[in-house]
Amino acid sequence: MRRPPPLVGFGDADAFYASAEAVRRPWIGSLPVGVLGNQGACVIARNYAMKKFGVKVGEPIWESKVKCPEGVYVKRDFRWYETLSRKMLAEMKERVSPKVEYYSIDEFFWEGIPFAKMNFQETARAVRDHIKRVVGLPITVAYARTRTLAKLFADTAKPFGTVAVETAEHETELLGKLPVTEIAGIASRRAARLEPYGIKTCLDLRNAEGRLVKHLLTATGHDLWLELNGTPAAPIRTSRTPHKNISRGGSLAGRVHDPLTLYGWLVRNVERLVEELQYHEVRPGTLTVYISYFEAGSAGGVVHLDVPSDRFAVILNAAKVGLKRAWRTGTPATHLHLVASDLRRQACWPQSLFDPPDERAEALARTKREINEELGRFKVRSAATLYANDFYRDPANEHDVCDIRGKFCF
Amino acid sequence: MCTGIALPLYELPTALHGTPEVAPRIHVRGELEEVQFHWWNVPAVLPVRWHGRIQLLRWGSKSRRSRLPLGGWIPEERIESGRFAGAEPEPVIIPAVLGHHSGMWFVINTGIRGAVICDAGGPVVYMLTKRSTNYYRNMTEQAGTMPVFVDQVI
Repeated sequence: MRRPPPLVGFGDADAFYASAEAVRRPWIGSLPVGVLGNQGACVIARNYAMKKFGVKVGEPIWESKVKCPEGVYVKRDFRWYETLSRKMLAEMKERVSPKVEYYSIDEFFWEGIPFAKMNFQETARAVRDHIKRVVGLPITVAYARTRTLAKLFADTAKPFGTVAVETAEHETELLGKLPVTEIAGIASRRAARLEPYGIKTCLDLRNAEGRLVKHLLTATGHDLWLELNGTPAAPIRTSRTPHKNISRGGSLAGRVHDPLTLYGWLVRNVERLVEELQYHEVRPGTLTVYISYFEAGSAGGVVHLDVPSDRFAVILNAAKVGLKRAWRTGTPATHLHLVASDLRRQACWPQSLFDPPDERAEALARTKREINEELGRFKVRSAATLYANDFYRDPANEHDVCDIRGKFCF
Repeated sequence: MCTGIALPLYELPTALHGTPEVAPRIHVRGELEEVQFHWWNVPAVLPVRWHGRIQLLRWGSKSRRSRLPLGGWIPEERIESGRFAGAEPEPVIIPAVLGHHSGMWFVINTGIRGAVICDAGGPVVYMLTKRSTNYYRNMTEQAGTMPVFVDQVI
């Protein structure tokens, strides 16, 4: 029997964080469950039982508990979510396809080849059931001609569904039901640009003139149009494309008025950033410190490094200058981010008289890294982080979603 | 203040299921049959792992005339400082899968640390508390204290 041409497979775990909690606590499976974010104030994920009560992602807990008084809330645990995510990835690679893209913590694309003696619909069901059996997570699986189509169609089959779209009629039928805003990359602003041209559904967009789409949505939008028409615009990527920027930071767990506390947070993020630069073997030429302020605009301080570096002392010195530029005395800060850009890879690291080898600093950094690898992250850390010490008392803060390496999206 | 806990019915010894302390406190949430213990219940009781089994003990004291500490909670540092040494408080675990605070239920891994104090009326259990973490404060609309959880940081 001749095999059908390959399609793109797509798997998306249903209500991933909430489902992951139910894997280790099966008793919550039937309850409305909300997962709280890094600060404990907002629902970052909820299962379908809680969704029925109208609880939205991003909603503050004090609103969601009114909507769903029987709901139960659980603190996020990215280390556990990564464990399950990687288990899914391993199963996909071993059982489903040799070519798998780790798109996000709970989404995977793969080169879709039907299992022996099965069509795509049966294969989709087999993949879904296998993941549920082995990993314990409910996922929705879709097969279609391109990535964009597979991702779109998966949404029509959620939760715990399967769909294989192999005919033009089936494709047209589904695209006609989906508003353009269902496409990742087309939000309300872009949709408003399309509306005057009568483009409201995915089918309208697919049938539009390519030139018009390019004019309205630029080359990125044109790629989406190609994908809607069944022409793959991006291949399945089995390893992550090199980073253009690397950033670390986030919320300051409240309003920070005190410059020393802010400095503690800066050092924490420098340590995290250096860890990431060394892992990817890149050195930034530019460092930017961004600070968001409470009820005031945010500010950034840009620093160009004399020599690209991944050394803690060099990055910290640059970050201090950036902090000074971004700091507004007397205004409470809420978020701080460090962005390393102009990244140079090993072959492009220039030698400089101003950056002589520092064996002592290298040895110290190596020792710190080895101890932390052995005993746990942040077991050895800069004493300056004591200014933000409360945050280190909670082991859950050691691992954030951005620390999960290898995936393409947040 | 954490004013209630819940435990699946199957976690309690079957001998307790039909008792007046348990039967009226059984609730069905989703498909889960659970027993809820609230501070406002009369009488207020808590399940406690004590002397090798789960028992229901009186939860704190609501009477100002009693010699027992008023309320159902004692700060951990007051026990550690020896303030109640004369009463010989005994450390115990209050098993729970859910805690209730300001109208919100949150997941507990193993349970909450407690202290049992005995008086003429029998043993009484108190929930141990400590200063809230930032996370717990945000989650509970700025509660200043939180229970002392067993091997869990919230």
